[in-house]
Amino acid sequence: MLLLGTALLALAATIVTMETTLAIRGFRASVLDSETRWLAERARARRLGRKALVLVGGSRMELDVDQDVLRRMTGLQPVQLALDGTPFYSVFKGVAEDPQITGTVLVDFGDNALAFPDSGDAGSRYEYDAERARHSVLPDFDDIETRLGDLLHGNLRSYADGASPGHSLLTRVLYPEATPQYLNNLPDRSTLADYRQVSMPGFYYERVSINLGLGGKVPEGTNAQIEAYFRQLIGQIMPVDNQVYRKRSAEVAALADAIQARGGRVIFAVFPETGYVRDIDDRRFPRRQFWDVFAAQSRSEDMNFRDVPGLAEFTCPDGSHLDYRDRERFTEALVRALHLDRYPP
Amino acid sequence: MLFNSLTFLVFFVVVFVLHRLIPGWSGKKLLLLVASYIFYAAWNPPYVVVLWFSTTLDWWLARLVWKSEKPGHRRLLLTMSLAANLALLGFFKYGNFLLENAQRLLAVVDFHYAPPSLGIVLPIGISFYTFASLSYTIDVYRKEIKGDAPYLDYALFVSFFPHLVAGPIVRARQLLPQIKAPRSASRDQLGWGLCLVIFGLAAKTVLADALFAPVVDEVYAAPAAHNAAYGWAALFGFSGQIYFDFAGYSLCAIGLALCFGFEFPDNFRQPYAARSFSDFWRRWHITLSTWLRDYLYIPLGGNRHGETRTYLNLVLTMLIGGLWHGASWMFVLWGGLHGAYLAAERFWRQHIRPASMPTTGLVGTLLVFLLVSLTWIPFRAHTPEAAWGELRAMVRIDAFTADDAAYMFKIYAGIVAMLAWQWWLRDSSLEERFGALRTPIQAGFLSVCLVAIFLCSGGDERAFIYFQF
Repeated sequence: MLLLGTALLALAATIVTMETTLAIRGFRASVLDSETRWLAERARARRLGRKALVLVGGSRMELDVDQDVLRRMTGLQPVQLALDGTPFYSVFKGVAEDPQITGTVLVDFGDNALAFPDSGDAGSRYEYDAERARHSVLPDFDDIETRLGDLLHGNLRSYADGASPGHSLLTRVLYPEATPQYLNNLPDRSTLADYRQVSMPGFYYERVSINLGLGGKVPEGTNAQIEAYFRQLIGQIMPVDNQVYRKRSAEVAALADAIQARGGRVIFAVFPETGYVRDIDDRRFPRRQFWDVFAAQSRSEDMNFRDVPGLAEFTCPDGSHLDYRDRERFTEALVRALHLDRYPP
Repeated sequence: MLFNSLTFLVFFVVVFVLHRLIPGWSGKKLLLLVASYIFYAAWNPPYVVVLWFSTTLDWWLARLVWKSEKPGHRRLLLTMSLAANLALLGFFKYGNFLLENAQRLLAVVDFHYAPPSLGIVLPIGISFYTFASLSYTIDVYRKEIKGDAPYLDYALFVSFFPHLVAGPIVRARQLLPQIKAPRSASRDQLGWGLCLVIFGLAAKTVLADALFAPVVDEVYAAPAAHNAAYGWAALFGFSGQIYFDFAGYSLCAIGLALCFGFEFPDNFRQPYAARSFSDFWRRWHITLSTWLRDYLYIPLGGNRHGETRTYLNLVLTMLIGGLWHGASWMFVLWGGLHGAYLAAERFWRQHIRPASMPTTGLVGTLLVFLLVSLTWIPFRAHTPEAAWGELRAMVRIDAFTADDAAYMFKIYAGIVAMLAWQWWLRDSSLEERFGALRTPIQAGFLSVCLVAIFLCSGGDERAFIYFQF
């Protein structure tokens, strides 16, 4: 027992040392997003019925939208079903095919979600599991594990960003130049992005490189040289063939009709993007061949940030997402632009 | 519920505290039974019915066998028990496999049959608790033990959570007497039990998952993209991964049982320090190999019916041992190879090796380790193509970067350290070696294990490999 006591003391000393060091360096504890957490939100969307404001899409929905503002201005209960790095289609299809979803569905629309054949992604896997969970009346121990994990991850900086403490030790505690994480997951599945924590413009260039298909690699050179290189590559981008897009637009429009037929409401919104990231999408998915085609087929409400001056003025530090300090203002502008503030509670 | 999960930590603390608080032995046993069923239900609640059915049937049939004096009647009852258990195992574990193979066979004679998809989900641990339960009915039939165990005791023997889903395969004759008499863990047992849990979790979390699993997964996922250094690292890495994963689980199971005052048999005894294949099987998954020996190899005739029959029995036992691990020809191949090694070794001992030749030493150990590692390939690869891909990676000469060297050094150093550790412990046990250390070194060792578990926690949490069997 003395041995075990000594070992526990050593463990406690390690944890306290690491936590203190990480706190001094500005790191924050953050919860770990998981499928279990997503499934819990998915079940909540069903339970809330008409009171639900179901948020579907990718990382922009997670980073750009402030759920407290949505709750306050709309009188609805936001339910975050967005999945980082996953186009909206699979989750939206699952939501549309679930007769118990009767609330308002706000979709973070991206042309890429419909431009290519559906190849199955995290969204379709999660929806499959949600369907299975719907028919189960027995307790799920994954929920307990998630809650316990939240308790640990939400309180210990050693797990920040989903890192293991070993990773934190090597890259954050023993590496004095480490900057605090720029992303912070919240229990409501939102993410706060603090771009003061990253080195600009290098971080932005990496994002542009990823969107150009260069895997995040940025060539050596001055900023002017790098940007000239990007402009040259962007100028060579040809529009994607829109055959698949046309077909799938009709499919999505029909899915939206199904939600509206049972009393729900569907809004497709294109979220802000700026700089070269926007230029890349403009070249790859020209508006007339893509968004306009979708809008013409859709019988739901839709909104493109380019058409709303209050939204087009926002700047995305990485070209693709907003800084957390702009979330509140952006969400207010979004609610007003979509007339959600007048939606009866 | 995995031993390396937070849910299990809370579960164990609650069960342990309640076990200490409840005064009577019957109450304690009932608590452990209920806790074990909750532990099992945490994975898939409806399958507790399968566990309950198997338990009840075997208990009832064994009782009838025990009461009956007629040999024919006893044999019929035993056959019923064997048939019911093997039918359950066959349906859940081999149903899809049998259908697929029947389909292929029929296609050979130009009869194209498309069986309906059964969509069977394998009840976790069914192979383990079926074997544990069968040991009871067979031993009662052989009159080696009585069949008068109370139902509560028997149900707890089958379902006791430390061994329920991945062993060690504890036999009725080992555990039932311990369940019968009131017991509680002594201070020493509790302390050593918790130490074993810490060692087991460290082996699993740090060595199996953090050190070896990444390179194994990487190479098996894309063997064509890797060169010989990676191919061999994956080969030996899987030897390390599966050993630390399963031996770690066994240590946890033994330690947890000890915390409640129960003693389980050892399941591993430094297998990679084995001097021969028969020695390897006396050290690897001991409770399975002894089960197969006592309930399969010996009833088949063992070595009592001539040389040829002995070789046949060895190979057949290992083939079935391979199939026990999973419904795949790859497992059968793995078992068949081990059977062939055992038969070849027996032939060599009896006909080739001069009587004066000493027992093989380090060279023999390394040779056995190499062949055992190569034989893990069909065990790890899910398809012949994947196995072939790994073999090709092992002979691919390709550019090797400085980053590769640093990564490889970690893996190969881990493998060398594992072999050295096993060689050092070969003729003793962890308990003996640990007990012989001075107290500050013991405390330091335990502290390193605990801190390492924390450092490696919270990332990619993998299930124990043997859960799937």
